[in-house]
Amino acid sequence: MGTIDLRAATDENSIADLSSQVHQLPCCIRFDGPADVSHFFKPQSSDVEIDGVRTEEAHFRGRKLQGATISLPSGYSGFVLGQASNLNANGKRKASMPAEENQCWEVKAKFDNLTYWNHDSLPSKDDTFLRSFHWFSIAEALHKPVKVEDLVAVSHCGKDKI
Amino acid sequence: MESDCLTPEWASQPCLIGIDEAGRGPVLGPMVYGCMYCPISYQSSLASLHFADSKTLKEEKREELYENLKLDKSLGWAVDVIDPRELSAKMLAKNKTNLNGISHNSAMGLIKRVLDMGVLLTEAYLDTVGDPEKYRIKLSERFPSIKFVVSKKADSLFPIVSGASIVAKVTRDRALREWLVEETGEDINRNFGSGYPGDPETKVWLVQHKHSVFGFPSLVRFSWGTCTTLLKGEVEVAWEADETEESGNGSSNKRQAKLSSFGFKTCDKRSEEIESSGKGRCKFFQARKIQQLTQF
Amino acid sequence: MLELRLVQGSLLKKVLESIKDLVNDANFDCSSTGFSLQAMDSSHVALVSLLLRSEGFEHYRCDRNLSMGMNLGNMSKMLKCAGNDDIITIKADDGGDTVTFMFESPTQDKIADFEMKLMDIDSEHLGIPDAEYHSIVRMPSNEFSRICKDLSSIGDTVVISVTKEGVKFSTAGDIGTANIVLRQNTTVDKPEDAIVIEMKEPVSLSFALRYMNSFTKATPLSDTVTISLSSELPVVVEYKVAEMGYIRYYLAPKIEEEEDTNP
Repeated sequence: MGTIDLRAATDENSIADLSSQVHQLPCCIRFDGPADVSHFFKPQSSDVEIDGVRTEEAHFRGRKLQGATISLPSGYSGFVLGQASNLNANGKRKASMPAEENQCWEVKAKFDNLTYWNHDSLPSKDDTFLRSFHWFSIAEALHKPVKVEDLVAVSHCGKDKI
Repeated sequence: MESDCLTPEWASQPCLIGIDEAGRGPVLGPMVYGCMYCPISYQSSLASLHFADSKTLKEEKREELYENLKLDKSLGWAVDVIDPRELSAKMLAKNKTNLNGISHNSAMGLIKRVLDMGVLLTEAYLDTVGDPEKYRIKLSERFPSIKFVVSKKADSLFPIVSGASIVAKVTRDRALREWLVEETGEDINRNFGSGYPGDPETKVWLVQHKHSVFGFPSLVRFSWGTCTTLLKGEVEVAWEADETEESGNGSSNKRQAKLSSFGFKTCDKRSEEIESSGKGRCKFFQARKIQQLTQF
Repeated sequence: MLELRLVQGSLLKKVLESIKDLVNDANFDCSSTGFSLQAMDSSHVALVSLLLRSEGFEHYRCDRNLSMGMNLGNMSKMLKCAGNDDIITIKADDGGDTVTFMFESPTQDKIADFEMKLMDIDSEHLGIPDAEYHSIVRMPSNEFSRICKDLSSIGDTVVISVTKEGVKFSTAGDIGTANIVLRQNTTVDKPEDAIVIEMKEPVSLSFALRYMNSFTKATPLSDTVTISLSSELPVVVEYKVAEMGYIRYYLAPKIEEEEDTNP
């Protein structure tokens, strides 16, 4: 079991806002840690507009990337999670916590938009990344509490058909 | 693209064009294709201009000849500067174009540009890229009204090609000298050397400017074997476009072809399966690559 | 119902050894004409095509066309349990999900049944385009195997060139280069030792030695090998299977991709 501590997210000032700085690249970079992103990665806005979104261009490791910056749907936020320190006051790991099973995460930063990049293809509505957002509306429909009015409406529909 | 844009007065006379390149081999900087054209009636005077293969000339002499030919009313010229970013991007694209293909397209682009200006081209001289005969056929099919001469060492055989090689070489040298380094922050020096992978100065520069995550500044052609070798041991970056490819071997410049390029029908079921990380779930999730995660 | 009885069971063992390194899973297709397989390696560079005609079996019963998906590694494990002199019978029911390999010792005093689960393998029948070959070389199979093995210790690519003078196999690597030239030679005691070169047009093609070496696993099947070449086409390396069929390997060439490193 793990936990995610979202308390910091409610406090505007305690965490960094990474909006416009989050990039999802179409490759797997086998590295985890800080890098001089702003010195090397220089996205430039292109002339092409698709579905009302201005596309951008950048190069990474010699490949041409084409991307778009998209806002997260309202009601959703992006968070960067980091491992919460499982250390007690003495600086020692609590004995009762096996590291893998009991991971605690806390919010380190947040973002409300991000830029996703394709290798050699213009961003479009058909990109799987954008299509994954479809889940939001389905999740909402699935989890919305059912009210009496909804049931009445449904049963009326049924009668109309007969 | 830069050129002597005005349509010359002699455009309606039969003309010849010479095309040559500079900076094809180097691991950094742009590759430049240059062309020079003039009326066939002017051809005999060309010899007196003392054009020679740009590689055999000293830099000052090249610059001087370049300035002179720009003033010569009977000569026209144009260049196509191919950015190292564009070279890398095309050679590493999902549908890769090799350097020969890029070179052919650039040369054909120049011919088209000159024709579009209204110049009546009837003869064209080019240094070969790949097999001369195949290249000649490709050019003749694209521009049936022009007689093509494609040969090795065209830049020392035909003055018009020598002229083109001077235009290309001077443009490449200037571009490299004035190159605006995009990357910031780090101490980037400009001692690139000649840019050839064998040049010790270039080697030192490459090693000094190597970055474990980003590789190199964008002046460098990432698609060159030299870069792959230098980046071994740095952060590994995996691309979907490379998944099925074999790693190249230094001793051979050949690429393994697939049977599908020879009319063998293949089925691609397997790669799709690997691609979808929503495996085993409802189609809705599979198509959107959504996976359930309980631990991360 | 399918029942194929092969007296020379060792043939099937050898066939499997010669394809299992190239392909992991494949469909064996059985019809009234024979037992066949076509499969590509995972990188789509090589293709193996096997045919064992029904006449070559002592008993061949195949009521309806059947396609059986097998993991070749597992099949090889089972066939390794058969003795070299054993008679092998392949049995399967229509629509069943297993295949049975029965091994009978020549003296009929031992009978072993191995049943293997079949797999569902999606594969359309692979289309092999017809081609005319510019040059065809027939040579002793062990000689070809030896050449591929020797060259692969120097380089990773073999250039096969056929000219009027003969056939040349060459390679280059970090330590140096190697060239092996064979000339036509038909004045030999045994026909299988002959080197026969039919050349309509000279050709020169490059291939990955890694694949060639995996093809030579079929050497025990036949004394001779036939190499058919055409410029800009895959090579065909063919081993005949004792009067009853063949195993053919197709390999896409390596094509030129220039990268100048010199001024």
